[in-house]
Amino acid sequence: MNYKLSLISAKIIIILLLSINIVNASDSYTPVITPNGSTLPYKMDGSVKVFHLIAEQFKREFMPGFSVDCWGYNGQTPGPTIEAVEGDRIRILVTNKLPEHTTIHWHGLFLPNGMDGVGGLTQHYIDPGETYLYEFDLVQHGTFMYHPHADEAVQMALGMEGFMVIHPKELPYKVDHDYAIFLHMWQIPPGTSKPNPNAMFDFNYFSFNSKIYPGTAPILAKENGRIRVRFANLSMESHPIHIHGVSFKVTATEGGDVPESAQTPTTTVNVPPGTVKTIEFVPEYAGDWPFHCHKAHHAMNAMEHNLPNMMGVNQTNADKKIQKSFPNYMSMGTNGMGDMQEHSEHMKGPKNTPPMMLGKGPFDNISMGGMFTVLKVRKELTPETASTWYDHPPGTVSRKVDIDTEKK
Amino acid sequence: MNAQNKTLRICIFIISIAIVSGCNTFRYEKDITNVKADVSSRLSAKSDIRIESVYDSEGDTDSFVAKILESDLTLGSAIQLTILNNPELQASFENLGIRKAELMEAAILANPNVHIDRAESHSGRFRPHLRRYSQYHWTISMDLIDLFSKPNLAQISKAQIEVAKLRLTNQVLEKISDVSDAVHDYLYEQKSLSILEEIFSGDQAKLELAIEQNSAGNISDLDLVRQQMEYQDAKLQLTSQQRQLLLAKENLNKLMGLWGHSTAWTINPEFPDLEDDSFTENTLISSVLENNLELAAANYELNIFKRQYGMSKMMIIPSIEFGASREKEDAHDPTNGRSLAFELPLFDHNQSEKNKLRAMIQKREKEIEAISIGLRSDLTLLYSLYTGLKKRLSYYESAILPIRKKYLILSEHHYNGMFIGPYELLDVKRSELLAKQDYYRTLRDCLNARSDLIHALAGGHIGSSNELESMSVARPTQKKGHSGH
Repeated sequence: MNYKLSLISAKIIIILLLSINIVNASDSYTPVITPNGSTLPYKMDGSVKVFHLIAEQFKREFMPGFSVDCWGYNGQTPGPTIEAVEGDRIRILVTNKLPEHTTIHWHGLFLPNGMDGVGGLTQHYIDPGETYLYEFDLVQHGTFMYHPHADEAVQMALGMEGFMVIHPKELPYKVDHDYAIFLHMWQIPPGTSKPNPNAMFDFNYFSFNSKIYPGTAPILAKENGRIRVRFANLSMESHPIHIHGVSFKVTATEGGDVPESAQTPTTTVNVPPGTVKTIEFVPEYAGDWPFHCHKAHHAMNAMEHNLPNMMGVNQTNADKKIQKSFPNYMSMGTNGMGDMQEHSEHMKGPKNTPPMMLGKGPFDNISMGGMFTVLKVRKELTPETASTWYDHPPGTVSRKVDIDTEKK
Repeated sequence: MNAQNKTLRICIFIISIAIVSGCNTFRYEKDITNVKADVSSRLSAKSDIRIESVYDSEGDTDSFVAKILESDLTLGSAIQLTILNNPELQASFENLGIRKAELMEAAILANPNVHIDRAESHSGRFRPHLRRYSQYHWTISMDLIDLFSKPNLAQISKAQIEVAKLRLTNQVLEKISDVSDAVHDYLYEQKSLSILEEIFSGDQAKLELAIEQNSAGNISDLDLVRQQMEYQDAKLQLTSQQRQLLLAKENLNKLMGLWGHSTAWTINPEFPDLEDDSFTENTLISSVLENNLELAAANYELNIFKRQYGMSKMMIIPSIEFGASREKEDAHDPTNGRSLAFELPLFDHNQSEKNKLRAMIQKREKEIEAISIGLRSDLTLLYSLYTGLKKRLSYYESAILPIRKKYLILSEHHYNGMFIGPYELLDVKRSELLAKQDYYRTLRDCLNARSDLIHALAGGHIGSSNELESMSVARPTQKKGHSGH
């Protein structure tokens, strides 16, 4: 059920990809795809690209049945991706519809100091109802971020962030798919909908583009195609993103391109707070490959960290006594938490709170959450790719065996 | 009519009165029945309490008690048993007989005095010329003051018997109030025990979990000991509660006069409904003043003192003895005569008695005023206590208990989502149970306050301000820190 939304998002992406390939075949760069997000449209004013960002409050569905009260831009978190080309002059109008003042800082960009967007230091704050203008030339290329530099602990904690991608004027090569994924984490106590901006620790939701698995859209890749993924992180912790089935290189950061000689192959890239890591890879092996943060709890949904440790604890006798007060009581955790997803299907939890583990796979429950999605590598991408599971060639799936027979 | 006949008539009159007075016997069983009937009607007029057959069942009390105990005990049947069977109350009923006898004695005429003289003279060695002769003289006399004050004294005695009956009625009502409180207390202690048993069961579960966690290497010995301490506390609390229930039961047994096999009664564990009532403070005050037995007794006593004072004013001469005499000497016809003897009130003209009675009248008047003021004040306090408790009870029913229930349900949801563990879940249950216990305590206090009001309306005593102040008011639920490992 939850997975359906991701599939719908993925279908949209595929259609977009296919249409882009057709319509923009002559374009110099491959447009960026922000899974579960969008790209900000612009208008031309002479030679100036004019964008309009509106800082506002809205509800964001992190996954079906779980809505969060966020702040962001143009009704989205991360805000729509601003895409331009090195050498462009851009003008960005920023309207503040928040209940407090804000600014926008263009993280990593070289621009006139007065356009840097630091409230009080380089400009006046943008008060509620006001619109400010930022205008500057893009003198570099790469992946950058925009975010407030006003009450930023609150505003970023609530989701105010976005990508600014500046494509090089001259492309050394062209990628087949270019994805942008913002890493973020939230503290939203069970049963609530507003992220707690006071939180410094104990975040309980970890998101890709403000979606948690199974609400995250799959990443689609054509076998032997060139894939670029831009990761940005404005959260309070680093996120080691690991992708199965591929080896990749970090080709750029928010500071610029990484020289080829400095690029090393890896399967995990750590993205610290305040940085961007752009990776590129060529998937050679078709399949449905997990794509997730390797901090184990970041690939789960909300869970309490101070629960009593019941691993290996015989709870049978206590169960009977507790059931006198709670007839539906069921002890948990004796043999691990692997059956939590199953229990969650018949045990009612707090409202607006997804179970810790979710996702249905072709074989069984996937039992993941948070910063998790699937890299779907296929020989050919079709509109159905996102909604269909990989068809494993015969003899390539691990199977149950009889140990004695196998030993013989 | 000659003097001789007059004297004879007076003597006959006096003797008749004396005989009639002497024959004046009394029965007090009817008075006891009247007191019980009065109690019953006073209570049934003011409440839903119905006392049936209590004053018809004399003679077969044991079987009546056994019959009542065949069914679950109720407040009504506990009151019936108390009136029928409470030994102190039975002794008080007998006291009415004693008191009545004492008062009747005062109303009986003093016996007449009979005085007989016989004188003889003898001829002797030294007076041989004198003839031997004899003389008889007898008199019968009565105190006229006593005689004429008897109608007044009889009235006073009657009034004093009424006072005794009022005080006895008050005593019965007092016992009824005690037994009502005892029934409510017992129900509360029973509810508390069942609540603490459930809490204890939760603490047992927590200890078992902690033991298993410790043996699995998941918690330290320190954490285990903490859990053991919590368990021990719960166990002690449960033991104390068992003792409280026993005390409450024995108090009830004592009031109902039960012992041995008859203490194996059962009771409907639910509190009686708190009846809707239309008490208003003003109507309560007028009704209480009208019905209060102590006030009525005090007014009776005031009238008695006034009557006594009136009598004392007339009794300047404390006693006037009037009688008839007869004298006979040898060889003479007997002579009849009248006698009169009295104190000459030169020094004592009853002034000390008058002064004493006047002072007693004034004292009683002040006491009546004090009783009236005290009743108003105590009733105001009792009424405010009752209405306060009712509001508190209603707050428990409309807000506190539903919220605790919701807290419990939501906590269970959080447990299901693994946001809280079993220790915290059980702590939530404990808090819900303690809130219920507080609710039952408030309900008990409210029922007790209501029964005190009914008792007051029926004419009974209202607890003093201090007693009302000290009436237990539900304490806030103990907040326990979350345990868990």
